[in-house]
Amino acid sequence: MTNQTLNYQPLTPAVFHILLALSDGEKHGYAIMKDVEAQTNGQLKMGPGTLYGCIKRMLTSALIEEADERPDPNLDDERRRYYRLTALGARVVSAESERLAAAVTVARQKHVLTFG
Amino acid sequence: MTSTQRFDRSRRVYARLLHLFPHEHREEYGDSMLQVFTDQLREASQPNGGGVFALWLRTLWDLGISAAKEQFSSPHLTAGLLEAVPNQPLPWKGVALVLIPGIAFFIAQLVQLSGQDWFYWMTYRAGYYLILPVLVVWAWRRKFPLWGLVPLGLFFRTVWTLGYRAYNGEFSFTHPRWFSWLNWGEPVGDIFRIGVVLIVTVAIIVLLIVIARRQHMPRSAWYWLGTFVILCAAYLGASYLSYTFVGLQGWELIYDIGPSVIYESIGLLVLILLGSFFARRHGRLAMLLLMGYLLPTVIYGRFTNYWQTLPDNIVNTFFLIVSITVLVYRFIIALAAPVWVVRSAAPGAQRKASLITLLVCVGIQVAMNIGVGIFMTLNYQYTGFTWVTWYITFAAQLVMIAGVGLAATLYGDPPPDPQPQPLPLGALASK
Repeated sequence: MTNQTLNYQPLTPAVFHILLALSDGEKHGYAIMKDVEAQTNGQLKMGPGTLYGCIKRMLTSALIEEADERPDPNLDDERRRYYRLTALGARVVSAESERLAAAVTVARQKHVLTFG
Repeated sequence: MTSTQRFDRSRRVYARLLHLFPHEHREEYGDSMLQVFTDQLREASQPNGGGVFALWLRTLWDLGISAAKEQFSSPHLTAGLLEAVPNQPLPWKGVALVLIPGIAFFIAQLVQLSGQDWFYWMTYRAGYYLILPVLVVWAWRRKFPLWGLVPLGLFFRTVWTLGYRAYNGEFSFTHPRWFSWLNWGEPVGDIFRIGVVLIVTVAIIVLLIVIARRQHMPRSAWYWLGTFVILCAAYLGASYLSYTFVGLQGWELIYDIGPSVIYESIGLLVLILLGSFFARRHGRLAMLLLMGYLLPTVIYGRFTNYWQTLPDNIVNTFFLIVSITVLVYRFIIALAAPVWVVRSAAPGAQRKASLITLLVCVGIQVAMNIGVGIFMTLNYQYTGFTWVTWYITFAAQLVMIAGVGLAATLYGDPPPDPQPQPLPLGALASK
């Protein structure tokens, strides 16, 4: 874990789940939103305002970038903008996942987490 | 209405609501946000899709929170809210904040014409409370907001006036229940009055030394300061002469009249000198402090309930003219001047806008005071108006003109353009 990734921790839930959504490939806004909803069993429902506020800050911080090419222009609306993880974004989401995993381990040891 | 029409109407409403976001954010992400909302709308319209009403409830909440967040983090707005951006006009959202005290005072002035006392309520209540949001933002951001300059000038004026009431031993214009303990009923002694003036004078000298050491004080500022002092002395001398006509003499007269006459002028000087510290951040826009200070000025606006018997009586006609003039004055000082100053791009234009508007307002005051003198002399054969008493009627305004000149020369060039800052590391962290 580098000092650079430490500067981003802990991530807000919205940013963490957006990064997770992009970890398996580039996506457009609505796809990110649906992915986040699926990851959290519907507990985190972002609106367009929250989503694009996060995207703006993540672009500024170089955690994600806009993809120039569409996966398949014939299948999708050309106006949609796709986003993907940068190398830094991948390191940050990985570091954050490790941090959360460590927290889960501690929770198990202390019998706070009773399942899984 | 068909489902397609409802669908289109929802899209149109959402597109309109996107105007709640800052312009630059809307330009960059508005289409994408509308696209996502359209996708959500399509899904919600399906059977088992959750329903359009529920979607709107979620969307409005999201919209309110995120729009407010974007507004407050917008660099363009932050500049308007907190710091002046040299050579750029203040954005309209910042202008709206600068105008709030002026709008409140102007509406109160209009209501006063209907026989209500809102204006006095505004002067002696809002004068204190408008400072509260300014102080909260100042403490929170550790930067004094630009839109706080007018409320600060207003607050200073009302507090200074409160101090003058102490001369007479009463604070009866404060709330009668909450502040009744402040009314001790006895005027303070002459020694106390002179002591206050001496302490403030020492404070002025200390302020001048600090300012002269910390920043360059141009020669023109010293000239205006000298003019200010000379005009104060002339005001005192004229007051001394006028009161000797009614029998007061010597040191007793100086004790009695001196501190009262000079009290307002030294308060104005303290404010102008304090303003130079704000000018270090806000440049010449620190003139807004003076506009706040002038905001509660009343010029013979309510001598009688003239409104009920117009236009037969010449007295009522006269006071109607006076009241309209007061409204013009207040319109300039409360609404026109702040907009002109903060929307001016170049520093020179800011100074010009400040000087012209303030001098027009002071000119109106001087003209009105002379007008009252002429009116009293012509209509009541009032012989009390000698050249001395006429001078006294606008001596305070002359001191104010010198104060405006001092401020215009003292509040130097604004700070250099701030460079856009990259988002700091850790800005996305939830800590």
